[in-house]
Amino acid sequence: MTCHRNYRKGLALCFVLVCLSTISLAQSAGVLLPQNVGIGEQASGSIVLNPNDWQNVAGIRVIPFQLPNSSANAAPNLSDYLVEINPGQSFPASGAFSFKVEQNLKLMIKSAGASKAQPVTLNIPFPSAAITAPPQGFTTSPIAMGGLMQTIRGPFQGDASNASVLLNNLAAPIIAESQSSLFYLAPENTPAGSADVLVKDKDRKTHFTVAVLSLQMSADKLNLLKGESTAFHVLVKGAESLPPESWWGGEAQGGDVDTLHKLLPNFHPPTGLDRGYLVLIIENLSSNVVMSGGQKIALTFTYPQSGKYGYDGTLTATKAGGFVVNGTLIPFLRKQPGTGASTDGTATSSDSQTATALRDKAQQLRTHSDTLRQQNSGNTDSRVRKKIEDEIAQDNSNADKLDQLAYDLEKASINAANGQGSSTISELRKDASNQLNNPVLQAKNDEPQVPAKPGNTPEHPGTTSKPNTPGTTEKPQETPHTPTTPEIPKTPTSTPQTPDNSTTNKKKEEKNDCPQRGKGCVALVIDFSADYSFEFDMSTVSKKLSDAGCDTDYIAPKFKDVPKESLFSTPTAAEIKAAQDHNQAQWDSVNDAEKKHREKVAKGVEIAIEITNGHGGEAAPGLPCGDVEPNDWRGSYLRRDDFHQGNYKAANKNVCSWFTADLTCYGGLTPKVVDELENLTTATCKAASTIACGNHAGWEADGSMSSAKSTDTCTNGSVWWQSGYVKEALDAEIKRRAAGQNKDYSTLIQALNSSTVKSTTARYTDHGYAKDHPPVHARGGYGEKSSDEQ
Amino acid sequence: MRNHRMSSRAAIFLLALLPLAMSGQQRGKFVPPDFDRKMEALKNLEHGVAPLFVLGDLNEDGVVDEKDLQLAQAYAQGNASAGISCLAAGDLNSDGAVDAKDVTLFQQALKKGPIPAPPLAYHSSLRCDYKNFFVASMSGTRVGGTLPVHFLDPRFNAQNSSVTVQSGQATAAKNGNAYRVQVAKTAPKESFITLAITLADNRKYTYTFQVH
Repeated sequence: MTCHRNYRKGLALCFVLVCLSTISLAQSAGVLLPQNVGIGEQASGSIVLNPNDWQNVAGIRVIPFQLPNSSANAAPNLSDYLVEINPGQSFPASGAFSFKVEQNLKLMIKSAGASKAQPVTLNIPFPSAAITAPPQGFTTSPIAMGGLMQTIRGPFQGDASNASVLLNNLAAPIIAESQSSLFYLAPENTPAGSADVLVKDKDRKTHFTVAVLSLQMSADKLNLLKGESTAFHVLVKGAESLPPESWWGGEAQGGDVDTLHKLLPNFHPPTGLDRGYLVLIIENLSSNVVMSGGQKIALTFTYPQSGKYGYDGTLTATKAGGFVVNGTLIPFLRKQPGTGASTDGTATSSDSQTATALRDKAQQLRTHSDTLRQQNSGNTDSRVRKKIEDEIAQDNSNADKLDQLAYDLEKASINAANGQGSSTISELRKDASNQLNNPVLQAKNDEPQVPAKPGNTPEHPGTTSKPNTPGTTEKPQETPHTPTTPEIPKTPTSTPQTPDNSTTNKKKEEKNDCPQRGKGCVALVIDFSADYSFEFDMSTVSKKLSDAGCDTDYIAPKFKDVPKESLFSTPTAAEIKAAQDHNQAQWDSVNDAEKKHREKVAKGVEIAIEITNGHGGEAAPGLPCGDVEPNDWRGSYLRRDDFHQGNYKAANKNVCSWFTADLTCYGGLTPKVVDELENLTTATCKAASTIACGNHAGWEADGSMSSAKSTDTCTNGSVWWQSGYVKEALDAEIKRRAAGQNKDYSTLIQALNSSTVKSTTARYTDHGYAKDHPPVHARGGYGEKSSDEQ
Repeated sequence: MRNHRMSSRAAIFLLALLPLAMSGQQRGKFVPPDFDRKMEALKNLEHGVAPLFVLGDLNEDGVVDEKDLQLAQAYAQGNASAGISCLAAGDLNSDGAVDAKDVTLFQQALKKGPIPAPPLAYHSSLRCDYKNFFVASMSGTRVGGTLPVHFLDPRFNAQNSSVTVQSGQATAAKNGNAYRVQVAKTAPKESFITLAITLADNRKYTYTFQVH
């Protein structure tokens, strides 16, 4: 679902577009039909007066035509028309009409009154497709937006005259229906927040809880004089009511991906084992205003979100006039299953209880699949991922079957209670009993589904987690997988400022300083090369950091060789385990150091520094930003995405500067993910770069560097000499401090942010959330062109 | 594979900083004698490439024999380590020490006769001088990844020496003056691949690495 038609509720100038649109399209109409139907299938469609708005809406076919008897003086009203399918089979044009799909659908639209206007006859061909098997369960997007179409997949009858949708007890018009999908329009004024959707289709019912979102856009001033500025605000209301289990990657609905790719060509939708996202794209369409943060800003929100789902920016006019800012919201979330709802009528109490038990079991399976997702988010092993994805699909399929069985049993029970013989009820009861005592499913629920194996470490390096099983009293872990840090990120405290050349304002800005100025330096150095003779370690850098007054944690794990079979020896299982346990303890020390460092940073420091050294891994499935690890395989690794995301959250608005150095191969993935965090707040290494200064972590300047590009290995030497740039900056700081020249770290911040970062193979720099004015970001070495290097 | 920014200026800069590297060796990290020269030979190779040592070859003469056993026995009994230039080579069970257990393993191996193709090893926390380091490689690689085998001794090169895959899902091919071992995408994670290395002087070695 894409809210790209938000001009109807956006900024004031957009209203002009609406008026023009209404006038020019006043005579047009369109027939909406479900797109994928087979010959012989029952289906329903409807008539609309805005056919252009329905072009490229997924699942819907639009056949435009001109309404008869339209008057230039009055807007047409569909209630004045009839749709005739066959002679004598008429439907009000203001509602849905049903038909059986044949090679050609002959449709007549005529005036309902005594008008002498010629009716319109449409002959709509259908491709010779067979009816596809309908899905066994009901699913829909976990979000809805007022005034936009929603889709429900499920085993429908196809006849909209026997169907209804209630959204928070308000009737929602059905646009189209097939035997596998129902399309309805969410009422325009549905308030944002959690909403109940009750769907009836003949004697079948299902129920969803969805989050109704509204994209609110407003500006303090709607017309600007030349040089004048105004604040504008974009807010996604209702997103906080999305349930945690929906925050998984899933198929984007409709043309979302196409739309997104037009705006962000490098964005890759998250898979079912990745975190889900809401992507908000804000685009300035007017040439007479400049938008803070760039002409196009992409923001992503995931779970759990701290602060609002929105953005505050500034528009500054280069010419007097109004403006148009477009907002597009694109969800990448998991679809919601419909929960079983009792059929109309009275089943016997025992059948009802059995049906309830079946639905409960279906829910258990869905919970189980969510747990699997949670545990395997980020798993790097493609075979394990495939196995888990298959298992999740199997769980969901079984859940759908159980829901359907519950429905069939209740329906047969009602028929029996009403004196209508049901030849199948005994079979259904037997089937239900078998399913509830199914040893296969039962065992499936009780056994650990995922082997705890090295490398399967989505949460923390060096840890393995015990899979949860459904049906136990154990509380499911919070979903989806979240970064390793427990700290809650703070929202930007100030709006990115707009360019202003006035002397007065410059003087004001000079008086403002970073809130953490003078609060010291905190550094974390994780060094996987300290134990290797022919690798440059970071003990020297660590010492220099300490000498420069930084509170430095130097973590150089000493792993043991895990014995392997050789000509001389065959290790015992105990010997192997002893080495593995030792290495696990070393990984624990890395985790502890991360946590300790973040706690210190979150309290507020002038500069936060993280340096990693060792062997870098490239981006891989499930490991989109690669990893850092020791040279030998030691049972785990440090994920770049989680490491930097946790550090970003700790530093965000708590530091004057955040600096990272990744001295490993493929280390360019670090500036890449830092760029993404600094501007999009996510760590997918898939999102295209943008500029959103309000998301920068540090007040003054942030930077990230590496010894290699994001797609390249590196040499032993390059790791060393590129770390020399950091050493140079630290040496200068040490000298200044020895001479008593430094009261704070502003000089070191500048040194790290300028020559140091810009000299390295891959880098990202910005000027902080308080000072940045695009375009000033330096980017390089990871596939993004620098705005100031082009 | 070389870093594009590895300019001559940068190389000079590197050499100037090397003493710092040595002064920075803390926490018991062993720095072999003549480290600068050895590092110079490695600095333009892939990060992670290091010289291999011959497991069991404590005196680094290229063969594993009774002399090495005697050195290991003496060391295990607490006698002086004179003559041992690669203590790491005596840690046959990879437990981080050279002791009676290693001596027993050594005796058992030599009882079967001369060792025709001793195994090469990548890393140990114990010291090794790398007096005769002639082959350098990495500790392992990923599924579908590549592992280089470089000849550091000028007497040996990819033309007069060979690297073949003895076991495991991989292929080996010449690549300039080195060999490049390509691990199959179907290779199981955590499986082992063993290479057979034959030098120009007909000495044979094996090298086993793990796929991760």
